[in-house]
Amino acid sequence: MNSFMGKILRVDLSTGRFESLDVPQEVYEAVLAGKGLEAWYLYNNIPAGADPLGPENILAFAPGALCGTGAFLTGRWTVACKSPLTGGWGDANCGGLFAPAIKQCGYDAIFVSGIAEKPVYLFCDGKTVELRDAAPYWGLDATEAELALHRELDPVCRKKPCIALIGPAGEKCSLISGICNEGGRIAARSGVGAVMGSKKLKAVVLAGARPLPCADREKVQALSRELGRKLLKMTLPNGLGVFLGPGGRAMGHLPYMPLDGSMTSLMFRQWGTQANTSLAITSGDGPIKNWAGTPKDARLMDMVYNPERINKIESAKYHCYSCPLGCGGKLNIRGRKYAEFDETHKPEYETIEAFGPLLLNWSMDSILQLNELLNRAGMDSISAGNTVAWAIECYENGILTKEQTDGLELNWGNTEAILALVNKMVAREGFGDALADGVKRASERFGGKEYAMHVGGQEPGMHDARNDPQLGIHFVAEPAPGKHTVGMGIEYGAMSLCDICSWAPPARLHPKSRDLEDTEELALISKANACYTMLVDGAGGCYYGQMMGVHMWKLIDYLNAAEGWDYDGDHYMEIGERIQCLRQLFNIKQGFDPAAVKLPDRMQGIPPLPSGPLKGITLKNKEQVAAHWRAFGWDDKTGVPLRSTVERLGIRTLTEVTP
Amino acid sequence: MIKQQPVFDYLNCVSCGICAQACPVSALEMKKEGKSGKYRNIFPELLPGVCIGCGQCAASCPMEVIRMEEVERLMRVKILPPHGSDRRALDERSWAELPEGSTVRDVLKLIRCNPAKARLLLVSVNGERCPLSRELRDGDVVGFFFPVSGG
Ligand code: SF4
Ligand code: SF4
Ligand code: SF4
Repeated sequence: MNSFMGKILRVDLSTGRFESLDVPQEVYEAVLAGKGLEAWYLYNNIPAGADPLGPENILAFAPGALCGTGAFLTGRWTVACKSPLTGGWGDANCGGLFAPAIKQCGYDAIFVSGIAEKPVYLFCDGKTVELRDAAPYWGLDATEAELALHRELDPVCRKKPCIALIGPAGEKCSLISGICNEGGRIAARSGVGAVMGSKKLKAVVLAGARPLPCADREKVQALSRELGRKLLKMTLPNGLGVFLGPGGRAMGHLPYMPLDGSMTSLMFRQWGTQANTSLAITSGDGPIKNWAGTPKDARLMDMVYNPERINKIESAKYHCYSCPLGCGGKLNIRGRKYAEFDETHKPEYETIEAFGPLLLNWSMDSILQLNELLNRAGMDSISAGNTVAWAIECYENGILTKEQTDGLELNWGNTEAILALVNKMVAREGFGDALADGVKRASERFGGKEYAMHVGGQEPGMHDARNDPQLGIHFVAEPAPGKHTVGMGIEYGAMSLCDICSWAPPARLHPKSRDLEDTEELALISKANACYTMLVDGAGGCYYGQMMGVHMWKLIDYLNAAEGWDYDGDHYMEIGERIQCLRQLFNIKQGFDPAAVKLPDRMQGIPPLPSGPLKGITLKNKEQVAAHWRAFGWDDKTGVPLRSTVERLGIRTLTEVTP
Repeated sequence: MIKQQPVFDYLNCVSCGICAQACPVSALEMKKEGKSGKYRNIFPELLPGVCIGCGQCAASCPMEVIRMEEVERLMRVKILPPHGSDRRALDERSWAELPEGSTVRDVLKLIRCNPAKARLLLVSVNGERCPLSRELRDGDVVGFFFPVSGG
């Protein structure tokens, strides 16, 4: 026995047919579950040239291999499909409770194709699968609809259902919409919500209660216990938040980036990801004023976004399934300025940065409201923030007029106008309609392309590649470009991958200038980062577990214990490499040209910033990406995996296996 | 009947929620407020009456927080009553207590369904059709449908 259910569920919304299919063991051996299983299935089953919003696109939901085994930080699920935003591989990742719920219904993944005639939701309790009328829920925001479904179904289900669903943004096929669960936790990226909306699938409701298998549960639990005990002992003194800004300032001016990342678990436990905001504002990590500003433009903003201020209104911590860390939280926002809701999930760093410093917005209260608004609408805050930033810069430079913006005075930091604009985007109303499909489409329509920050069609996450050039490699080379979660140089230092992988270079304290080169060593580092991240996704792990490093969160030991295998790290890193290669092959099959993806000039430091921690930096991004592809065994000009690489990874035989 | 029921040693609980999700009848909810060190947090709490004593929560907890303890209690079944029944004997999630050896007929009495009406009903236990004489077991889900209204 291992940890896989051995089956996938295929749903065709056009015909209303379901199939439960057996997955051959060799597939799990090759790519695990989660994103790996999705890459295998979508590569084989989405025809070349499929319309992302058409019936041929397949929307996949999958938990990872370790989900349900007792391994900590493995409650993440991945949605994958062909992205309507980029035209290539799309995926998004989320926590909450939905991951184990898929397995408890007896499946390692659910694949949905076709388009329903009218809005439906998918119901499965492990015994029956049904498509049910979603008319009463269509039009409700994601949180309202989730509550309404619970009211309706909790009394008639033996086990309380877990629900993943779209809000109005997804229903209206906004290309920057995502899929929510647990009251606004959102798998936001790649436009996955639009794909669900195009299928007229409002929700997936899962109420199965099957026991989840594991080869050696005692061993897995012992590994978790060891980690859990460490975490229970760790705390930070209160009041430290105020020092994060000055700390970041010092970091920004150090010639070296510090290596030890074990602090991340401490910081995330204390504050959540928002711990990064003050640091990011002053260190150069967080983009300011649509990626063109410097910490000078946001002087003292680190105090406004001091994470202690948010902790003060936290009513409880929020943990995804199987997570002892609990970086999430519930905030009581009733009665605060701008607040139209009583409660919100603690905003992530990405959201705060995208609607704070990126727009020179000084109002924390507005961000609490925006956070809840976007979570309920099911819209990606990273993409929305970048799009609003573009609109503001266009307005300030006369490219957009007041008539075009429906009378909104889109100046930097105009909180009211920002709120009004996002409301319009969510409702697809007037000027907001044009922005609801992201910054690339908006700039194609109105101009101001030089201010449109997107990579291959997707708006980048809130970390500046000029501060961490490794990130710039992944922004561009990642099959789902613009994602910030695939690898960072800073993170590499913290993870100690060299201790599990023979070819991963040891992380050394090094001058930042070294990261600007296109050396083979750096390419191996970015490759190792990407392979490990794909492995984590196949296992269903959380990136914050990953960031703790291989000595705290023992992924390889977990996998061996859960699957009854005895493989070394190199073997597992090759699984990660295989997943990455499959995703790239998916892009090639779909006619997506990896070589056409570029960082916007501004994000590469063309021209370089005149002051601040990123002063004078220009990236050699193109050269670095080429070296990264070489390290993967992909053609360094086209990004197409070489025949020898595809053979080495056994992908040809893998793609011939069908369920 | 003697039943097993979980008890918690919250000191070692890391609020991971693995136990609550493992519970086949959702008898655990992450809603007990408390502190983990200095952090305010929520912990698993047993909903009165829902637990069927299966022990899955205890088996799933990596932190060895949960111990199964024997308690005296009645059998519990979940009842999906037909429209217009008396729900007073059911808790908010539709569970009710019945003595050992009870049958579907006893459930009808519990929800005060009149015998004439009862004859028109389709009865299911755990999703399978069955006669009114079916003896129930702890954790069963009993459903009633009016075939005339389409269920
Ligand atoms: S660290 Fe945060 S995001 Fe990751 S699993 Fe835990 S609660 Fe979820
Ligand atoms: S013993 Fe079984 S039914 Fe009771 S709380 Fe634990 S898992 Fe749920
Ligand atoms: S599984 Fe154990 S540690 Fe986790 S919440 Fe339940 S009792 Fe606490």
